[in-house]
Amino acid sequence: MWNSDQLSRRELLRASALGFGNLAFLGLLANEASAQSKNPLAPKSPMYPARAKRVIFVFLHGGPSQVDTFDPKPLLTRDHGKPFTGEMPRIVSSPTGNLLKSPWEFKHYGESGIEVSDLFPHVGSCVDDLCFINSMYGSNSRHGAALLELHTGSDTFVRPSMGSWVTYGLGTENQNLPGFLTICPTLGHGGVNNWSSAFLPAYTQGTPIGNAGIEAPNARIPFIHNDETPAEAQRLEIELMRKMGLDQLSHLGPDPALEGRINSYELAFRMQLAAPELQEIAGESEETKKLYGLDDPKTRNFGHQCLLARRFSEKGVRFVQVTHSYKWDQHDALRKEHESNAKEVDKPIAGLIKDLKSRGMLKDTLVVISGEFGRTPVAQGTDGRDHNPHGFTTILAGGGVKAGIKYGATDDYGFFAVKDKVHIHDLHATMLHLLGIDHTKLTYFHGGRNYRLTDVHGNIVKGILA
Amino acid sequence: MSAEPKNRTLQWSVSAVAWLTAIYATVAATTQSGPVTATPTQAAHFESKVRPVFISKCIACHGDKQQIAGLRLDRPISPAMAKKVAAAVEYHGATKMPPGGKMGAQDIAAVAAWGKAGGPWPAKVAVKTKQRFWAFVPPTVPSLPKVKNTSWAKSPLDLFVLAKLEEKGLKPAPAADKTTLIRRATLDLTGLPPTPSEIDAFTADKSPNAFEKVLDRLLASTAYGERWGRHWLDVARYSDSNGLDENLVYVNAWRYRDWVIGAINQDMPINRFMREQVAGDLLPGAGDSQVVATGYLALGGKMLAEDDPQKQELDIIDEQVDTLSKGMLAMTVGCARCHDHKFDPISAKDYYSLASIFKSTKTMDKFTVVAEWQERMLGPKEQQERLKKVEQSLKEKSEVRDKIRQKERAELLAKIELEKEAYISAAKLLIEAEKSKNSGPSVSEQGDAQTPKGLIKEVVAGVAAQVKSGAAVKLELPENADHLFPAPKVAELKALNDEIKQLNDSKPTIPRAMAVSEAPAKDLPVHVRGSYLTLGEKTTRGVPAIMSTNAPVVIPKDKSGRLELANWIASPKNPLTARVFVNRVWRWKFGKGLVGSVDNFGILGNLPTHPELLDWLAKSFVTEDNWSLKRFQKRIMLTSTYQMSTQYNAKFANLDPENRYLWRFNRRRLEAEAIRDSIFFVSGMLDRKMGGTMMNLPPRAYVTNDQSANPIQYDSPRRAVYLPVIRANIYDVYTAFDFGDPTVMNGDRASTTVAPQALFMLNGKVVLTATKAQATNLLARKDIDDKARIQSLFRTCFGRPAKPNEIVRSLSYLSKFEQAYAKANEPKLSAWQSLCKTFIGSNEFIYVE
Repeated sequence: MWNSDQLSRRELLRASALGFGNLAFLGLLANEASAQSKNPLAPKSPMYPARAKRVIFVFLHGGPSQVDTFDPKPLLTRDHGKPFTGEMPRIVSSPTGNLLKSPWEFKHYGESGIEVSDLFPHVGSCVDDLCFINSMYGSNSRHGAALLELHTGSDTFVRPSMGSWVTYGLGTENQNLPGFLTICPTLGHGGVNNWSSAFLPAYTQGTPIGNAGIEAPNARIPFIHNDETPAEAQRLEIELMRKMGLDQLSHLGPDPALEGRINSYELAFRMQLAAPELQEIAGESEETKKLYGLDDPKTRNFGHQCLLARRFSEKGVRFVQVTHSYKWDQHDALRKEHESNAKEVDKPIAGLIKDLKSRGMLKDTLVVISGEFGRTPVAQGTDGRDHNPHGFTTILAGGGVKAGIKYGATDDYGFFAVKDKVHIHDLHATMLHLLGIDHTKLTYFHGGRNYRLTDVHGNIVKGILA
Repeated sequence: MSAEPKNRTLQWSVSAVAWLTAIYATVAATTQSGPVTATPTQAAHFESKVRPVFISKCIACHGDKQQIAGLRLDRPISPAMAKKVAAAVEYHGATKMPPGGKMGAQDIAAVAAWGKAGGPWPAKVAVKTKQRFWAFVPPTVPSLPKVKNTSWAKSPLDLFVLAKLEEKGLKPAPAADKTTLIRRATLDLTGLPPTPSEIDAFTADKSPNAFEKVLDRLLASTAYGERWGRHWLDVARYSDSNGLDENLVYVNAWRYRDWVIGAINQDMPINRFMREQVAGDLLPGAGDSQVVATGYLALGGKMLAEDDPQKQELDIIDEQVDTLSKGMLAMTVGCARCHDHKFDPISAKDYYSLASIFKSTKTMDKFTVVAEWQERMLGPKEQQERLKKVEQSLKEKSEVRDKIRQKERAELLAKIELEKEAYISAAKLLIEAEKSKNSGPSVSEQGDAQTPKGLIKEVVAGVAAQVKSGAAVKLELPENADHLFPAPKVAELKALNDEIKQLNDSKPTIPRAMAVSEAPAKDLPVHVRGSYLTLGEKTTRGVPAIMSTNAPVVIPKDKSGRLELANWIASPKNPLTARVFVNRVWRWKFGKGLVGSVDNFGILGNLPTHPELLDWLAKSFVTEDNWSLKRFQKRIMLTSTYQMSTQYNAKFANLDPENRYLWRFNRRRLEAEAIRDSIFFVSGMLDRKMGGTMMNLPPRAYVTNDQSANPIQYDSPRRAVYLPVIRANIYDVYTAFDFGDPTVMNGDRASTTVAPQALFMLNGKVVLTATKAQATNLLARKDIDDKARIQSLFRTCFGRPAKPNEIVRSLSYLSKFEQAYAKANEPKLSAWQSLCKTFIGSNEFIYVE
């Protein structure tokens, strides 16, 4: 419908940035400025010096098997086919049989010599930058509850997600973008509750870009665009609305809420230019694209997500999540499906780590790679494993985390975390600590009491702090 | 309700030890013999670090059950004893506790620091204030205050407000003009703006009761129930899906939503309204409508895939206790699930007494994964009976069929066991054949050709898979083995299957409602730390002691107590119900409750700004309005307080920046639903059809899964209250405009200003569709010119005439737009649509003066 000459995006961005400061009225309001008119998303100082400024959370949905990836168990191989002699968990999801060895070989990598299975050769090549927590455990054996626990700390109630807590505590660096983005998140197993602000202020809510059913290159922020109105027409609309708003304010008297809403159009306008620009990856070098596996159909989708995560992080988004959709749930077909899943994520994850490192971002970016739980060393059927929240592996990298180490351990068969156990609450406490936040003091009063991400739990895992 | 963390400036970097020393420095030298009272900091430390250790590690031997060595750690102890406790946990000296092994280092440090300081014990805030705390004292009719300005007040309500204003050195704002007033009242009562003709009629009506006539008209409109019903639905955490882990559709939830809207439109007395929701099914003469009302208790979010059925049941009960106590009583009883309430006089015993009522109530049909909630049958009893009969015979037939099947399977299995060796060799052959093919169909997909005669090919394939994986060989029949049975049995099974199918087809269709019913009465003991694995003191079904009224709640032995609970809540003697409700109404009308924390009247809630007014409202609502919400609406709206303007006053804004004392009317942004409805309304698109469901899904279908959300028809121009509320995947317009999380009840929605709202106004489909219709309609009117069209836009959207300069500005905008985009297909329509967008996007449209 539109074919008039269009201003370039950059010109518009510049024009709107000028327009923003052009509120003569602001001077009039300066004396009346109240707390409400302050931007709650403005960056805030951490409670103590932070080791990490931002988080990239790589979520592998479904429950990757620790004994087949990052937690080798020689005794499991030796006792393959024998019954598990230890005590089984009180609550289990499905009936299981005897011990099942990993079908994959493990190799030593890097100077640290950490063992990684043949499923993850690229991640293997990064081990000296990674910290493997082999002793993770959670409280719930079902996907929905376990996802919510990993994302919000609660497997029982709707609570704010960790990205929301972080945004609440620290604000964000780039005011043209949301503080908390989640790229292609799952709509199942708690869906929005995994990135919701619950009772925290709405500005801390995660902003989804597409969902797990949408290919990363096509994923968009809600309402970011319409096909009917060109940007310069919107400019006119915003100008007129501002005039109308200022007119109204001039006879109503100062009102920070009204004033804030007039300004919010400017922010929205800048966001709808800035966000798609960041999603446009054509400007990345071929080398970078290859690093993330964009040249291979198998890795293209997840690689694109990881690249977007780096681009948003680079521009100051505080918390970015990427999700490898619900594929890791191998109750059967473990060999085939774990192989295929690992192929999709191995290179992109390694690419992300290497890219962050080469850009000097890894030192103050905390990367967290995890599933919602692991899988049992005992077989379900002949080629599958059941859910296992009692022992699994989470990988950390970057901002303030020791590199090239393994921390904690599961038992001889990889069933239960036994040494230096790290509960999901402990992981959360540690993440906040690295960001310069005391998890016991980041609280929000709601429904009659103070809430925390870690509820009444959580111990900082000191052994992994660099 | 919200509070930024205030203690940001504390010394974050001090070590834990130094921190403990600092906390306990004040009493470290004490030598007194009686228990030491904790400072607030110590109390906080005790509650978070020390008491939890006692509960988990010590209380079994040193609690109310047994007091080994005369020590009880559930009540204050002497400093001397506290020091012994410190030594014991540190494993210094002869007594080493716990006996099974040292506690964790952090726990030891916390308990030891506390013990060495003489065991400072938190003061019992709750019990001390038991009799005095205002919320538990029944409201009384206050005497009317004296005021200096004798001409302003129209009602006793105004006297209370005015007296407070005068006390604080404030004055009420002048009255709002008529156009402002009718827009305010219309949006308040119906969630839609007034039409130009309604405004004209009101401004032309010079009679003294002109405004009252407007109110009567609005209260009689069905839009009133849609608006005020929606307010209550926030409190009832109404949703059309489960959310949480397994997002199944609540396909019948809409019946409860329609019940609420109907009850509000019919002006059902609020005490009856409450009673029906808690125990409608148990009231004399209960019918379908009363059963539907109990959906209130059934609509919560549930962890349907919780592997632990006992935990699941207790979580569901907890959700009910929490929602009901906050919604109807503004009490956070749920806090007492794990321990006595830390601030309010509610004990864990109180919690489990109340929880027992819901334990004795049936909400669920089954707790095993995926769990199923109960849906009660509605409609004529004969139909229900018929269905029951059909289901009974279905059950019988299925049992017969299953028995035959089981027997035949066992026999068949026994038979093939004899041929095990033959199966193993056949399986090996199969594997060989596959290997030689290198890449071909997998073992299980191999053709019959490989199966020797007389052997069952599925069994061979199963064995082959086992051999391949190295597992021990165990012969297994395929899931469906009916066709392998002897011929007469095959025939018999077929006949049975046919009969079952016929029965299934003959099932009458019966409407159902999510609702609760009675279950066998059972009393829960206290669950220490909220876990059913550590049971404590016994309780009996009942209501929290602090809230008991003069008439004690007596629950018959064989009854759940739900009816008694409902009657107690709905009693005029209950100190909380009426107060909590009138305060909610005040919040919905003025934007802020007299008690700011509308869902929490407890000690950590806010105190009322106007306690006498709150009491007066509660008393008048019960005794004069007879719990009629419509009468109560008028009681409030016919006052000078409600009719004030929002006029700004710099001096008063300085004295009372939050307008706590109501020196003017609060300007407010419309809620998500009212914004959407108003947009469709002014564009002429709003569909006023009432009630029913907009979801065409089978019962218990998944509404979201990993990759997609079921197509929900959000595009419909029906009133927003009828759009499905899908937990964990809320309509994006709702998300942008602070609808909140419908898993949790909320009587005090936020009102934020965030960029996604502006993006919605610029790009949202609702806005684009509606403004296009609006522009098309305006241009279609050939009887008026552009000036008159602009005038109409002002009157429709803002409820006021345009000023001359506004007409000029709008005209110049249109021509500028048309010129700039002359090449567009329909420049005139585009220009007008764009102008409509600016009206809808402007502050004046979505704010109420």
